[in-house]
Amino acid sequence: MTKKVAILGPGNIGCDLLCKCLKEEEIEVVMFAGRNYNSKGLRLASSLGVPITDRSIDAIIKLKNKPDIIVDATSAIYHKSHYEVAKKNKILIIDMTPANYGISCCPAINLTECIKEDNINMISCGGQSSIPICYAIKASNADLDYIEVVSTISSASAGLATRRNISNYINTTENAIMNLTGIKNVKVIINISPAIPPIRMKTSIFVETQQIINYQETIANIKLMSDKTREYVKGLKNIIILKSFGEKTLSQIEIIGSGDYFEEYAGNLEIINCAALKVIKNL
Amino acid sequence: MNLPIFYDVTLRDGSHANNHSFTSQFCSQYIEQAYKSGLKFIELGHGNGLGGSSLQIGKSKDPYILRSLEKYINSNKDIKFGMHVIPGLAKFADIKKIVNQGISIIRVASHCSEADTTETYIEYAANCGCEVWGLLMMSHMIKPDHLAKEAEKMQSYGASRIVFLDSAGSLTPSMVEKICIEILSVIKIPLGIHTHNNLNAALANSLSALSNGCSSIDVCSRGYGAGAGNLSLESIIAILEKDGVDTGISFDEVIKLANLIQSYFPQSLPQVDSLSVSTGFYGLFSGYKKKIIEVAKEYNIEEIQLVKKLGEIDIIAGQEDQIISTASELSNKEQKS
Repeated sequence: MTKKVAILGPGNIGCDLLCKCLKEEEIEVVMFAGRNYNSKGLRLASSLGVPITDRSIDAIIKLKNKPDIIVDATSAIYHKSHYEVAKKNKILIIDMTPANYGISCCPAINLTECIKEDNINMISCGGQSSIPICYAIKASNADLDYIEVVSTISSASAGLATRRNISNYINTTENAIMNLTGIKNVKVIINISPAIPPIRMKTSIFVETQQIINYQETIANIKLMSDKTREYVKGLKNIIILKSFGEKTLSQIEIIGSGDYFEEYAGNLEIINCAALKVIKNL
Repeated sequence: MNLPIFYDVTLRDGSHANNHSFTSQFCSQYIEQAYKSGLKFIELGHGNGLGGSSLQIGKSKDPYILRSLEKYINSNKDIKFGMHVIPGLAKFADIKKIVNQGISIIRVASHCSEADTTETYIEYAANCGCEVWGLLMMSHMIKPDHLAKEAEKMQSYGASRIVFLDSAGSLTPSMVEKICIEILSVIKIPLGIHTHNNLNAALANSLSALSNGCSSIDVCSRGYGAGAGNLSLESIIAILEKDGVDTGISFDEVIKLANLIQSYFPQSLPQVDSLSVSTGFYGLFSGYKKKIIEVAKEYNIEEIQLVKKLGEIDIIAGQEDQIISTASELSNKEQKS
């Protein structure tokens, strides 16, 4: 059965997701909504033959071709009101912003639980890239009580909403890691690098060396969870599976974008959108 | 020249030198002596500022230091206490907490080309009732006119002062002059400078800034800061006083401050060694010095080779994990060849 999707928010995430949805036979994009017909995103959608509007969610709910799903790719501060409108109209919403409102979803961990909900939060790029590995490390080392996640994204791929939402990004990602892995203390760091050529999205996961009790099992588990994540994010690459430097031990990954909208460096857009796509396909 | 603000960052930048191990006992002793010297501005915290304590950058030995110093901060009304806040490391809730503990100056810092990441943080800190400064880090990495545009953004968000940071110790006095002219031609608020001594130019750069319109300079007792260290407080006071400027700061008392640092941290006093000059020349963040030594050793590669490669890929502050990935790549290449 074809799934009807409306994408709200014509920024980097919205555009990349649009390109990804158009490649899927089972997904129909019924509307791409923004606030300004001159925005790059709306012009792109229009050129791809997708219905567009400058009246945001108001136009989506009036569509005759009613969507099953609204993807909210706006900014964290607008999400609550978008959810309320969607709920009133009995449309499921997938939240791409770090609003920390709906159920935190990492497909490799809790997909079945999430698809029962009417508001599914895709956490953040840092969350999607790190959670499977945090989960793997915790599963092999039950007493692990501190983990740290450092993500670096390219300046070119970081849009305005991303830059305004950094504090929300950290809160939402930390909460999701705590909730989905059971690790008590979590610290999340995000860097935006202006390097030219733009660097690929990278995430490093740090733990205290003394907390890794089962080293070999941890490695096996990281490989397993990485493979599970690669089922829906092909560009996930383990750079360092596990390596200790004195008191700290790290695992490092890179996400290579498929080049749907941005170049391959934009792994941050890639991973959160691949995760959302996985959810859409399973709804 | 108007009398500049001497903003003392010893207890923050100096954390890089001693692996973030200042104790509340040392800090209170330092603050007491700083007060006697006539200093009015003191910055506290982890080397990378609020939220910097991490495995990535280095854990603070005493994460509750501010709580121990709270009474001290609130009883010293003549001194304003500040903190360095980088969006990406710190959260809004962290800002609220330190404001409640008596911090009254929030210095919101971003990489020089990414000022728009500071917008919501500057607004948040201003709403907490703080004096908010906008800081542009690694300012050698973009052209002066671009830097001026980023400074203008921070002014529009509500910053009351701009400080440009030579975080790598990579600038020269003539570059500082150009930067001051460009920034001051677009902003209406005051400008300051933060220097590092990698090329032995912290003093010359600070003097250039003062003669080109800057009205605040960041100082460290005994130059105690990251990498090759920062502008030494006692040197700048000596020079300005000799030139007839009444700095309002007692030279004899800042010498006691410098002695305090020397006696507590004889093993980690900054020096301009070959690695420091190299990181300055290739434009790497001063706080990376120890990481470069550690990682180069781990992967058995030459420090200078790693420094050059990191310079080539435009590494910025906060990317300690990139040092590891780059070293790993270099060592893999060596093994293959």
